[in-house]
Amino acid sequence: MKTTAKSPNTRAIATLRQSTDIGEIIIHHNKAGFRCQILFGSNSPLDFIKVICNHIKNCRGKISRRKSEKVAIANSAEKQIYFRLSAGIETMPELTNETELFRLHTSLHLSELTGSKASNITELLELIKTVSGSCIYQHTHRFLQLHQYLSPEPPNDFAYWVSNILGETELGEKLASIDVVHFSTIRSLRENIVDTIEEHLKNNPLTKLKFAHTGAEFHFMKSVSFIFPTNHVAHDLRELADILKKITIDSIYFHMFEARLRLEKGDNDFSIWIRTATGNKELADKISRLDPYTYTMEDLRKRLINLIERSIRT
Amino acid sequence: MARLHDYVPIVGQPIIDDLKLVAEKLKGKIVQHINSTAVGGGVAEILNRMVPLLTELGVDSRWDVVKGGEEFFWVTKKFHNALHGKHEEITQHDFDIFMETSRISMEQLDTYGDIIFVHDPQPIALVNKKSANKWIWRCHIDISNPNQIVWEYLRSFIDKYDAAVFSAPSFSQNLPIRQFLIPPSIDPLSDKNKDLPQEFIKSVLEKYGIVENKPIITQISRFDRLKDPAGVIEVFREVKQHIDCQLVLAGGTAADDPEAIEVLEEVREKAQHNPDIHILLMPHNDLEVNALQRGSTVIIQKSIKEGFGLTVAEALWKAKPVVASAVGGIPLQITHKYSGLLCHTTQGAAFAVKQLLNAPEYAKKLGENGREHIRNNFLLTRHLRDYMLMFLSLYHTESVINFK
Repeated sequence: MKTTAKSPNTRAIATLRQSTDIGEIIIHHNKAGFRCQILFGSNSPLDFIKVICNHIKNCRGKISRRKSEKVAIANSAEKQIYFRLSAGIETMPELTNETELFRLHTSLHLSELTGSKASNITELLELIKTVSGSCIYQHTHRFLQLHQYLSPEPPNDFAYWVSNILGETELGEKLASIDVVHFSTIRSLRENIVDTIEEHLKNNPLTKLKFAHTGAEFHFMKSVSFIFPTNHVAHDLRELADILKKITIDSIYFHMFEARLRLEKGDNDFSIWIRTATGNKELADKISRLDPYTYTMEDLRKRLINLIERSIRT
Repeated sequence: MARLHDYVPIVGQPIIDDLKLVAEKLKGKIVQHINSTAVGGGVAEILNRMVPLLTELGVDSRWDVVKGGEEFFWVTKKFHNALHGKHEEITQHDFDIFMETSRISMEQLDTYGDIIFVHDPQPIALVNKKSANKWIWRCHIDISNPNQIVWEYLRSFIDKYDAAVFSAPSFSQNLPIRQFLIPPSIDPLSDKNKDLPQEFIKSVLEKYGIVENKPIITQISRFDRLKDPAGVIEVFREVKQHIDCQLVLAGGTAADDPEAIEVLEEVREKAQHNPDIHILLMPHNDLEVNALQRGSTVIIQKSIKEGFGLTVAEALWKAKPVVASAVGGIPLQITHKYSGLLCHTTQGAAFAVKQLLNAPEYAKKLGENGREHIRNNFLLTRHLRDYMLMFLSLYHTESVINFK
């Protein structure tokens, strides 16, 4: 982060800073201009904060209280402080555009067993129709996190079971080929899985006669997701690329897969943020067009970093 | 005792940071683990590691052990076998012994935790003391095909818990409470799994009269019929017809397993003093077990039933090629022909061992893949994370829990 003030407004703030110990002023430069970020000390008087706010009313700034040396600005707790402090300052809404920063989250998963199991394709089909969306999500996405590195696992549990346990390789292949990236809701994904099985059964009724041996039944589970904000915040593409190098693959997974499909945002979080905050539609579209299901998680990380860094260079 | 930062070189700093994020949400809760043995067996091994790490993360974790006499542990061993599907004669007298010891435990043990985490059937009846706190029953046993009399008896307690935890999907049952899938784990920094100098490995092999110029096939397990040590000797005899090799059957005993000595005698008898069969009773000698695994050419785990089969994870962590029965949690650890070989019969196991001994490059690749799979899914850090998430889930019913 650069800390050099380059505008009259920020020079004014810098002057104020010299006279009182308010924390630090950080100027972020990006294609859209610059943003001013002020970290107030936790004991900064409210009147003083108002003075600062007035001085930067023409800047696009971020203001928050510093809680400790390591706290990055504008996590949810700080936002509350910010809004409370800003009450009565008319210019403040202009100063803050929350879409411009990108706080990365991570999503951790727990598998919940349902006790429901299928021994043949008819039972499997009926359960696919009736289980919760969390079950469909679990069985179409579990492999991504279990096998983060190159693995021969097929892309969903239904396909694996149908091929390897029932021995129905043709149907297994059809299920494995369902292009999850084309679905924006679990509901539409579920409908496609059901259609694929029903269509196959119309032409291959003998499939219904195949049974899994004892112990090899399909056990339905559901995914419980716990979403946590991390301490990583990106203000521009450079910071995003740097953060992507060090966050867990769970975090990348959340923003690429879970936000799009499970939270039904329609697109991955990276593309949404890049499009709205940086205006870089070309890069956002490139990331949207990726089929993340065909990458290992580490390769997906590399691909994202590569796309962003190339965009920064050009 | 290892601390959190010691795991950073193995799993990376971000994984440890995630643990801290989760632990933060559990501040103020007391988690009380209860089991029946402080030493020996997988449960005690995991708790010995996990409790201090949870504490370091800021989750107030305590561990209490219920007491039981010899009679009680004979009964719970019968329960254990019956839950695994083995035929056992269970009498009313057995249930009476179980309830009487449980009653004493209920009187003696203070269940003070906000979350009471009960492991296995021995302390299961303590749930009768349940008040406003949350209770979890952790089942480490393969109950995919349980003896119905014992299962129904235990159900009367299980249904009172808030949640149950199983190690494999096939263990789940129709229960009126929430059930979670949490496989166990190994600790890469424990004496059983940490890296060892080559000289030490050699010295251990030498100590037990195991030579290095012949392939070594090893099964590390408690002496328990469900681990099929006799079947392993049959596998060895089949392989030995084609490849000159040695067999090591090594393991300890647990305080709550009174049957082990009987089984050990049966195995010795079956081995018929064959000088290439090394039967080693090694209670609580983790460094030597580690050395034996590292010194082996192929690891076998020919269990008939498995709660999970952590010895498979231990072997894979050492990048060893493994042949194992497709039971319990073993298929979660081994993807057939990718990270090891799965088998269903003695003949199949013998064939797989021969394959690995005759194709060392293939065996090496399986071992390397297995190590990565364990790193990602079966180390203590993942286990810690899952437990903490489960604790949190007790206070949330939704499928997506968003912490702002």
